[in-house]
Amino acid sequence: MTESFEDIPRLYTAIAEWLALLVYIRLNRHRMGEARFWVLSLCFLLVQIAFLVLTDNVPIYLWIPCMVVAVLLMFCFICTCCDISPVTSGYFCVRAAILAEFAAALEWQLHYFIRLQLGWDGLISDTLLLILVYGIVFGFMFFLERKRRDNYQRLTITKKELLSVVAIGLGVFLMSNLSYVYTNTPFSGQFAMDIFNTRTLVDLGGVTILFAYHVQRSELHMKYELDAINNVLQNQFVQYQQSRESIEIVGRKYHDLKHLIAALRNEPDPAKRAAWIDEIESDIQDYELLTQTGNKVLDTVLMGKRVTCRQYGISLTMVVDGGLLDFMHVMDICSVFGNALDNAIECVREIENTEKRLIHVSVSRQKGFLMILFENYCERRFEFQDALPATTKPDAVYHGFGLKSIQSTVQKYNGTITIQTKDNWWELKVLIPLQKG
Amino acid sequence: MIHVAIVEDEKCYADQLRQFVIRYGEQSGQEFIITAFRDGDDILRCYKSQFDIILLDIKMTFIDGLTTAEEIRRMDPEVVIMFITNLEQYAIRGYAVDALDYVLKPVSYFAFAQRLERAIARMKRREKQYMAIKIRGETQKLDIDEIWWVESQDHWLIFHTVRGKYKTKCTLRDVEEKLRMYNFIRCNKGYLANLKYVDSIENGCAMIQGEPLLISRPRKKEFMEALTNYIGSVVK
Repeated sequence: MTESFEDIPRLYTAIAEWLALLVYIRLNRHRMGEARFWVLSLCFLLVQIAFLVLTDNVPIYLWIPCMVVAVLLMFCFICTCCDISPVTSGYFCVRAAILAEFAAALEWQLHYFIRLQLGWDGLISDTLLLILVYGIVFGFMFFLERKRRDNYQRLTITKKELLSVVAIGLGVFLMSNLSYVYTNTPFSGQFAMDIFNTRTLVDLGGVTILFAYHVQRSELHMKYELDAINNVLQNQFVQYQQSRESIEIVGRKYHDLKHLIAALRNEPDPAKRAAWIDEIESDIQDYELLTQTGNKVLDTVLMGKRVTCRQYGISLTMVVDGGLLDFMHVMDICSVFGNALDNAIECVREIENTEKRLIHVSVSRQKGFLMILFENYCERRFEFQDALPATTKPDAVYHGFGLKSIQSTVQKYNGTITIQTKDNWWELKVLIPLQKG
Repeated sequence: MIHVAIVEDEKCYADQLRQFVIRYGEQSGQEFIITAFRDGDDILRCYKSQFDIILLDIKMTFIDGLTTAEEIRRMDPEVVIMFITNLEQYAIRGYAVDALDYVLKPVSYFAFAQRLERAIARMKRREKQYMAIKIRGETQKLDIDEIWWVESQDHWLIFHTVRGKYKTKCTLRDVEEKLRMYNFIRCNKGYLANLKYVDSIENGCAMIQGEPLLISRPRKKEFMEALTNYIGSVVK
């Protein structure tokens, strides 16, 4: 026989769910002002309380549908408040639901224990216990998650990941609530304390598993990003090596041609000879000035990009004090200039009118800083995500690493990058503090 | 009113540039005074920091553009110098004279107008901005451009300026709000720095006039981004 016991008051459950949601919503960026957010969140709290209290005594077969609706309400709340995709919202919704289950179960178990053992039973002690337990559980969770806050800014959960989290959540939920629906299964408890124990432990397990899953997932994601960034870096370096080779070839050609010109001088017909020589000379003039920015690596990178620019009728102007870049590693120069110019070239290439295909680069010393400025005309509009523009390419996960690669390179030197667009000009600014001396 | 100097020895180019400036003026509603010079020597002889923007041909007969620019820069650190060149090479040593922009010949109106607009945006605003603070009951005007940083101590604010220190009773938050648009930003709880005077970053401190102002961890990202944007927007 089961002894009769009271289950968690629905009011408590609603409060727990609300608090759990707050934990995750505050970790994400919400899209409204503070005041509006709190008003909306209070409305949600009232709706959730009303719904859960009204459905308290529904027959057992309606219990699961009711729970589903409660979770759906939570989902809607996250969706409205946060600027995240539905899949990501779903992910947080599951995590919040299990966390709320755990907090409510723990609180109620303690409540029951205190009432039986100590005989405390009053509104004040109940309320105090509620505040204490919820405060500790949600406060601790918030603190724990906030330490990993960086991961939240650009979090995109895939459908597959959502599926595993939902599976874990469902398992935990069913196991922990089995005893309430059927007492007569191998996994159900017979006594109130038993049942409470099972539920609290299973929920604790659930919270832990979901947190561990989240940490694991974030680390994996970071590693993947790092790999992709290194990949981009490698590409720029390979390009650099290629253009260095071709420039060497051009250099050799230049010398060959010089000999040829010498031979031509022996041509008897002076008019013909002069015409030939002029023609050849103008042909090679482009290659003669292998640009002297003062930094050999940069010269090579720029040479390669200039060929591309000439091909698309892009006007590339630059004022570069290359000597300032001497402290940077070859790979890093390739990464910053290669990626930034690739982005700029790609952006201006789309412009119909070739007169508008303008790129300007400057590298200069400003007091104790190295300032690198890339500007290009741009008619496209960008959406910004965490200060970097979200990529416009369809393959969102892979691209945008050009900018990320620049950022991670610049960070190695304690530098900062920013991007601004104004009046159709796109500006990428890189600031690196110079070492003294 | 913007005073533009055109220094160009070939008459056809000089005329074209003048036309472009006039056309830009008509389109933007901006008023210009244009003065033309045939050679670097001519402009140097009468130079009294009267110009806002100088369009300077690099290749001229008597004195070349770079030498002219060096002389001008020695006399006037503020004027925006923009080179005009037909060399499609980027070994232009503009950085030596703080001239980080140039226009290529043949000059297209579109590119020219864009670059001119940028130069105007970067021109030093010559008008001064003031803020009033109360010192011992008396109101005093402070030139905002002369403030190095503002320090909060208990309930007092100390303004460190070119002309010395000023102490007043006020909250840093109020001052911060007022000075935000003049490129002041907090580097930690008690300090509001003028980005214009940040000389370098050393050991996590912003150096202003040899004084290290600690940049606190939570403010570091915002501070460095603001500094980057500021420096990037004042280079000429």
